[in-house]
Amino acid sequence: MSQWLWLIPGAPLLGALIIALLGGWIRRELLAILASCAAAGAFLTVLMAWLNGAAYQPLQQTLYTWVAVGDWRPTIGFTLDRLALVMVSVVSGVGLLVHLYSVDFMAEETDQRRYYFFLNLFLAGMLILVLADNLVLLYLGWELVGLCSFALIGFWYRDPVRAAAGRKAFTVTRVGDTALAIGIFLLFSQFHELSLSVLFTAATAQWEHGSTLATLTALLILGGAVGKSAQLPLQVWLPDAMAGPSPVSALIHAATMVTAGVYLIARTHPLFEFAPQVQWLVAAIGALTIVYGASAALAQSDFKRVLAYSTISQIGYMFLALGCGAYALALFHLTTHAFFKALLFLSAGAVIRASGDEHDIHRLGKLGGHPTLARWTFLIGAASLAALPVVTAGFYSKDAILTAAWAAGPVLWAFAAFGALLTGGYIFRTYLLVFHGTGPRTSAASLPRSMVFPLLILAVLSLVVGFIELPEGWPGPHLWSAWLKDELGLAAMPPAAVVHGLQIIGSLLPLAGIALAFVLVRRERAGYLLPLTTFLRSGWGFDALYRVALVRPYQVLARGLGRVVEALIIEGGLAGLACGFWALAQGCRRWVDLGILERGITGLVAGLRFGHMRLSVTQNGLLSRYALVVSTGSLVLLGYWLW
Amino acid sequence: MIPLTHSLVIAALLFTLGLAVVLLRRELLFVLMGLEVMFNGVALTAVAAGQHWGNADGQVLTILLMAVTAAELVVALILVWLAFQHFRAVRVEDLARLRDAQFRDDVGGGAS
Amino acid sequence: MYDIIFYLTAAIAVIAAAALLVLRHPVHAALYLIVSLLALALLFFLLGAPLVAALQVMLYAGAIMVLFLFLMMVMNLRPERGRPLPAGWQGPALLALLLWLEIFVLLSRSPLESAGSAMVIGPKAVGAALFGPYLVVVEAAAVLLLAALVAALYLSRRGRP
Repeated sequence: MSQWLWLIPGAPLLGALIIALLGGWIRRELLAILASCAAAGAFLTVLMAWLNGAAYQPLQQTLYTWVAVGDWRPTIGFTLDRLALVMVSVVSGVGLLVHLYSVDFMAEETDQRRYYFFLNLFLAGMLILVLADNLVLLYLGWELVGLCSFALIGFWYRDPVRAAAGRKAFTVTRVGDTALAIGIFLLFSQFHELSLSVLFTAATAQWEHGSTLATLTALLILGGAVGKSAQLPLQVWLPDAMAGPSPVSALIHAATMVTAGVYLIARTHPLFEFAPQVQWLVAAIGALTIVYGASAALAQSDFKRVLAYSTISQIGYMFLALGCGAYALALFHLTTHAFFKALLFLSAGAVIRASGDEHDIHRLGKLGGHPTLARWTFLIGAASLAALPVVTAGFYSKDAILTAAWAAGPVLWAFAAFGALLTGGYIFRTYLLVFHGTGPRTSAASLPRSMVFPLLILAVLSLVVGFIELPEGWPGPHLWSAWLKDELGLAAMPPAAVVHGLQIIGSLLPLAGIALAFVLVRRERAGYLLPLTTFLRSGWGFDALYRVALVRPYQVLARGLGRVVEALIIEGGLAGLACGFWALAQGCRRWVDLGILERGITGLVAGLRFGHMRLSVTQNGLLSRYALVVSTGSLVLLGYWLW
Repeated sequence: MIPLTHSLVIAALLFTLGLAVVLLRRELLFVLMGLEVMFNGVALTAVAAGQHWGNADGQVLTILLMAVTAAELVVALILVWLAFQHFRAVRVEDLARLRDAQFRDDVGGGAS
Repeated sequence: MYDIIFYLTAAIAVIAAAALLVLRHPVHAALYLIVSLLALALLFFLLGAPLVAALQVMLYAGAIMVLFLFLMMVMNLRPERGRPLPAGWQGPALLALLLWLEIFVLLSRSPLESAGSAMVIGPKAVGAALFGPYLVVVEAAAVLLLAALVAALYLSRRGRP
């Protein structure tokens, strides 16, 4: 099985290549099918890996040595351990479903070739990122998904707002990417090796617990993760990223790419163990982001921006779990979140598309007539997001994180619990506003089959995935943490009595949130606005803050530099040079006596003028003719020599 | 193993083709491309000879040649751009201002 | 096998260069030029000069072609109408052919028939030569590049006095 590992990122990459190179000769409908087949290829290979026992036996394949510099040889090598197996299953599974969904969703788009090229390329990049066995290859995948995200957010690039959203996403994530790159350089300068397994053993051998270097490295890696996963303070790009097509939002900005940061920290968690302060920081960022995202989502009026802030908030839960050392639980929530958030985005996409590209939730409610299936699937997704007790997958993953957070610190738990309350509030506020508005309830519009199928599968997954890991102390399977224990360890859990108390509170919070939503919606319909609505809607004013604090000064600096450098150094320098030459020429003229030479020069000029009259026939100004004369000269010389 | 002669014949062929482009084509950009091909013929000669004698001098020469080409090309491309900007000239005939005023009607340049 | 690859690459380089003679569209010509330059890079590699081969790809196919294409984009060139060759092309063509024949004869007479083996002169040796005996030349090249940079900045400055 190991020798087929390359096929997982290879199939989408091949698809992207075929679409890019031969896409001009393929009909538009076939492009979509081709891209879906490439995604299916990746998914089937993952399935084969499962069947061949990859769950217990890590697979490893080294394709070739990428670069050989001295004794450092980073390879194109893939490792499929349990952590990677979870990720590739989620990525290729959701990726396949989103590809299928796109077939009909993007059917009327004229530039499908670009769309499917980047979608396939994204899938390949994400799978490379996940499977990479060294940090260089991981960084390649990291940048590849960033590029595809930029290209797909700005897919409708003729609209300047959307194009600007793409640029913003790229620029903001670049801050994190640079931090990650510096972190990788730092690791390399330490250990002269970037292969993950070697790195971890070397770090264990050389680093001391809590040393400055370990802290700095972990901090830089965290910077990369924060940028990619849209956590505070680099979260500003994600709400704007909703300018892209809905399937893209579902795949890249909900299910997979934004969770790359979570994966990165989980993957490098042996390094984080050496830096307890940074781990604490991860948890703090997570806790703050939960409340930030949830409160901002509560005041949004754009359908997709609600979901974007919700994604920020949910990834906050994952960061919280990572910070508490509950890596397996972070991964669990990542998985369930990928399913229910993709489901929410795809349902929202179907609704928005059926209503003629209307994004405002209040107006959507007035329009009504949304596809019935989309309504039900959205309800399932919303229930799972709100963590409705017992029946939804979101409950099991979020409840486990809440419990782990209590063990790490009750303050963290309080933040997470408050977030859970708000989550139920904002998502059901959105549901009620959109689907229970004043418009007609029933709909004549039916969804195309290729959109129905992914919605149904994701809806089922959003309900049942949770059952593989029941809460602490419940009878039933605890497959997930037992399976990942060897690789990711177990999180500390509070005593049993506390756990039960927390579970009861955790079950009541979503219900309270839903009640809050009912109250909110009723008052909102009556024209009441939440306090601080503008503040919350603008995402706590981060955009304005960054514009004043960072963007403006930078622009001023750039403009100033341009003026100063260009005016002073280049123009000034050249002018000085010219002045110097001019002074030299003046001096020469003054010192050389012209009178003696004058007569001779006049004679010479007369002679030259005569010659010029004769020769100027050849000077017709044609460059080719001159070149011809030069080459004739060389020809004659060569001929003479030969002869 | 390739005999040195063969490499040199190929280099000569490239050089000659480049020269032909310079002489025959009248578009400025094509003339520059022809120059590039000529430079490359020379570079192939240097590398082939260096490998034949088994020392690095040929490659050193080629690297220096590349530096010179880069310098040449940057200035030449800017001049082409300036010619286009000021005289709308894309062909060699458009830039015949050096010819003697007497013979201005001699060649049918594109500019006139 | 080695020979076949070598001659095939050489043929590609030559044919692509020849295509410059007859093509009308400048962008097409640039593409052929890239092909020719890349083929040449392969020839360098086959001859045992990996460093120069890599530099060829980076400098020519990478940097210089970008400059060409950028200029074409800025100038917004249309393909030339009419015949690609000007009238009276026979003379220069004949000249070029003659020149090549001359070189050919010249080479066939010279005692250069070699029987050497494929020797690879790696980057290390080239670097040692470059920064050893040829250090002054390298400095000169650096000055030349600086001069070209200044010239480029000067020629392309805004608002001329």
